[in-house]
Amino acid sequence: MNAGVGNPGGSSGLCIEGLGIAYQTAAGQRQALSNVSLTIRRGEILALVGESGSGKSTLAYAILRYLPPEAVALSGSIEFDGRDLLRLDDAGLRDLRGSRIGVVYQDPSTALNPTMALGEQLLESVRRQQPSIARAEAVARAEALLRRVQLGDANAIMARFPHQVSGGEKQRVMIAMAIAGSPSLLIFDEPTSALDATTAAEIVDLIKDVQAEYSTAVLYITHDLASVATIADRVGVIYAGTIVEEGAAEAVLRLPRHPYTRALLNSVPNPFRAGQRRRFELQHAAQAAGARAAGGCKYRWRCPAAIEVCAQEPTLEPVGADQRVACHRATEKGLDLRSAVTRATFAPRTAVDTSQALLSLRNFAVMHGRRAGISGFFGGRDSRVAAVDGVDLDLYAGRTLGLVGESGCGKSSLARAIVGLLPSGGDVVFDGQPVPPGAWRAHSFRRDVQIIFQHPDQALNPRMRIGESLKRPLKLYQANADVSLDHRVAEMLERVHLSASYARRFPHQLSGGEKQRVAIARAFAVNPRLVICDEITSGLDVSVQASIINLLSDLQDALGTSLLFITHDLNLVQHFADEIAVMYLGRIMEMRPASAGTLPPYHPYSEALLSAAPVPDPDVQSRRVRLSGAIGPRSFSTVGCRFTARCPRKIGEVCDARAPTLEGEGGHRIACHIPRSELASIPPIWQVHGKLETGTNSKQLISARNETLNQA
Amino acid sequence: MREIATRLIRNPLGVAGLALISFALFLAVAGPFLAPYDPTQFHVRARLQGPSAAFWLGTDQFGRDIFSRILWGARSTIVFGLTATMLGTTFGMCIGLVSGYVGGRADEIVMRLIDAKMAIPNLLFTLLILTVLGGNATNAVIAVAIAFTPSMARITRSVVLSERTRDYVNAARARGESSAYIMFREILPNVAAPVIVESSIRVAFAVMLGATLSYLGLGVQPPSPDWGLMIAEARSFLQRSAWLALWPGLSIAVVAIGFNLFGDGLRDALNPRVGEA
Repeated sequence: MNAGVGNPGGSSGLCIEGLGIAYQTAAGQRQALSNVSLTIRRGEILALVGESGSGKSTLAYAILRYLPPEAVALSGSIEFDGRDLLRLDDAGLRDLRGSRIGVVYQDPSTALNPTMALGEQLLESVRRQQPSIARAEAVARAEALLRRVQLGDANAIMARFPHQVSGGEKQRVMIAMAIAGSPSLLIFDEPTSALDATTAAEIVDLIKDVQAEYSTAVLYITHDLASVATIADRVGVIYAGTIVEEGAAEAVLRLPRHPYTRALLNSVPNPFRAGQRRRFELQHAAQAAGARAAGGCKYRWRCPAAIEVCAQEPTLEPVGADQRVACHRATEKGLDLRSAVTRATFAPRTAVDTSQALLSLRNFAVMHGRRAGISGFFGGRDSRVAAVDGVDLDLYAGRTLGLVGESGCGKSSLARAIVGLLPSGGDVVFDGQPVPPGAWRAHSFRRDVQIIFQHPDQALNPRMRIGESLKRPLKLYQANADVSLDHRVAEMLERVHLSASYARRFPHQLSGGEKQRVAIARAFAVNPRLVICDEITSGLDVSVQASIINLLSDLQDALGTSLLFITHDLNLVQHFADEIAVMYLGRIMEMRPASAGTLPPYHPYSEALLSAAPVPDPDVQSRRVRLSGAIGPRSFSTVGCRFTARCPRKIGEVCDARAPTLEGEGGHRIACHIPRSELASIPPIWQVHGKLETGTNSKQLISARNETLNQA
Repeated sequence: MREIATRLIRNPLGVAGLALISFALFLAVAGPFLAPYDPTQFHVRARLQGPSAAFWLGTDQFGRDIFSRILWGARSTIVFGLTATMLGTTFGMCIGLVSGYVGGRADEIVMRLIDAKMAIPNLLFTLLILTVLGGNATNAVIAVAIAFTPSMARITRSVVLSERTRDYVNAARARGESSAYIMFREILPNVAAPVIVESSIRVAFAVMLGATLSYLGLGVQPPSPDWGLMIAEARSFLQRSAWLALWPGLSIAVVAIGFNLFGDGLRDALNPRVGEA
């Protein structure tokens, strides 16, 4: 079966054949994986892509035999270096897990023991390999491993505890532990999803680097199809426990054949489409309820191209040179798999009245920590730091301002201070009325400015029914006896594409995306004029993120609400924002109109952020700009540019001595000492290679690329 | 709610506790109707008798039927335990909720006062109050309730401290809800579970503390049939007629164990993670 792929059954690498796994539940068996066949040869990276609940992690744990007792392997085999892992005894498993297979988990902060120094944890892995090794030798080996994962000061890292190093450094230590036994298979389970964009890009570089050196087989699990282009040789797309498409990464990304792969690719923000205000693919996970039911193509419940024949289960058939697809209609020509919503763009922008901003911040500042007060008298230090330090922003009616920055840059503090959850300094003017400093806000301000939080699990009271939560803003701000509150709640739910029956549910009965929809419904309940979205999609799958963005934009178009969209993903926000502010350590580094697209000039920090964003396109080459170090601690007395310590384009003493101001015309302003003309002359981050002759400038390049994309 | 009930029923110890409590509650309600004799009626000819067909559990020094007195005593003992605990829990929850939510200097002062109270043993503290107020059943309930307040406040406050940082509280604040609404409608339902568990275990302590106070003559006054009081009266006859102290002692133990087991079962039932692992 499936002889089209490489050399299945070869002695090296991993070969999964017809694997089926089910969980025994009270309601009978629930199929987690069915008939999965995959091959990863040595020296090859296979990216397994799927949304949460698709079974991708079950597959990883099946390889390690880490499955819970309720899991039953129903069929198939997992052959690794000539042995069937499903039939291995305990001794064989122990040998396998420590040395032959290395694993790196999603969240490095929970995967490391918080009470042990990093060095000791690494030494454990080294000793497992060679139990008789002398301590000095083991330490030397551990240090060599740390240097291998580019942790410069290996000695110092060894002595530190997990809470004393950054997330990126923890993940590097995890990788060092995984490669301690020179494994022939490495499994990465969403290794970058807990990290910042720039750190994630470095980790991906490191994974490729390590893989090349050891020529191991790598299984890279992710929910983000975009990251596949940068890392993978091959890609497998998994949906509801079955592989729906598999093949060489280049082939799959250039011409995805399965409707699900296309939908995934469409939900990924592609920088070449930035500024076009094109809609993302809209997917209703709720409609996939029947997916686990036996029989037929599992995707047909969501598929825009489903026909009668889809009730029969498709098999993975080779299509093209190096690609297999499980779809009855994969080879049909001219099949438009885009749903009507996808084909549409967002409503076009009308001219904006820039004479008066809806919200304007001047010299806005937020302080954290305590004033020295009386303890200062006894030598205590003033421990205050400025989370936000002198920010000027203007937000116009009906517009979207994207605020981009990495964790710790102060963007959440800014959001919370605007709505009065944190005390702030500086001037705030809302709708022509000055807002007093401090945390007090007027009744009308609280009605007009709403905030949506990052974690939907926390933002809804777990002991309150959804309907009850949704009624609160109505009770506070719209005492309208004409319409019953229940009726209004049903309307609000309908607005966010949820059925009225959700009003009776509790938050824990909803998925993450559904909870976020409820939070959106609550924020829009009383037709606010400004909604602040604080990282509202960062905990969600890419496809759910896409549907949330579509929803927000529709609401904005319908109600004329202004949005302040806060995110760490510059690439995402370029798609629907009108203006983008890039923030670093409490200051705005750059203000870009979205119409500037992805072309220079950039602030050196924006340049690094853009470079870190993966592009789901094999024909696009991104220029590597990597930052050294992590976001540093702030002290009150910083005089120079905030970015100076990590800036790859630092020009000299002036950067340390004087903070640059935002300068520039046409709404595109950059805070940098490097002259504007010089910034404008640097090459763009993204280049389309091999398609166009030299001599064309970058703007032409990109517009040509966009044309081909639109035709595809 | 139904889920919690199902999980509680699946827990054998919790069910045993529930059965013991139900039995005790049944006695508290129906005991006086089942009792074969008036609990204060003297049978002068049959003093200090052992268990017999006429007097199932024997008689005391005045010839009163022990079985009837146990049945009658269930009411006062259980009512005492429940009211004292409920009063203490309510006071403690309110103090903990406000103190934890408001925070700052007020919280600091309340917590230091609670520390001071917790340094004094409960028995000593209740004795102190009863000495001032005078020993009777109502005052004993108040004394025990006050003694329980600080620890309930502590527990409530610790849960409030973690709940108040959650975004649903931030959302309510940003929405402009009043502090009272946030404390009692948003936060309170989320702190109730651990507090209810703790207070169900505390009922057992209250029953024993009440019995102790009656024994010391500061709670229920003779000739009322109270289990603690019965033990106190049996003290002088311990060498001749040990069962006099045995029956009320056993009854107190059964109620205490019942509430303890029920509290444990409730804790497991309210925490969905136990049992899944």
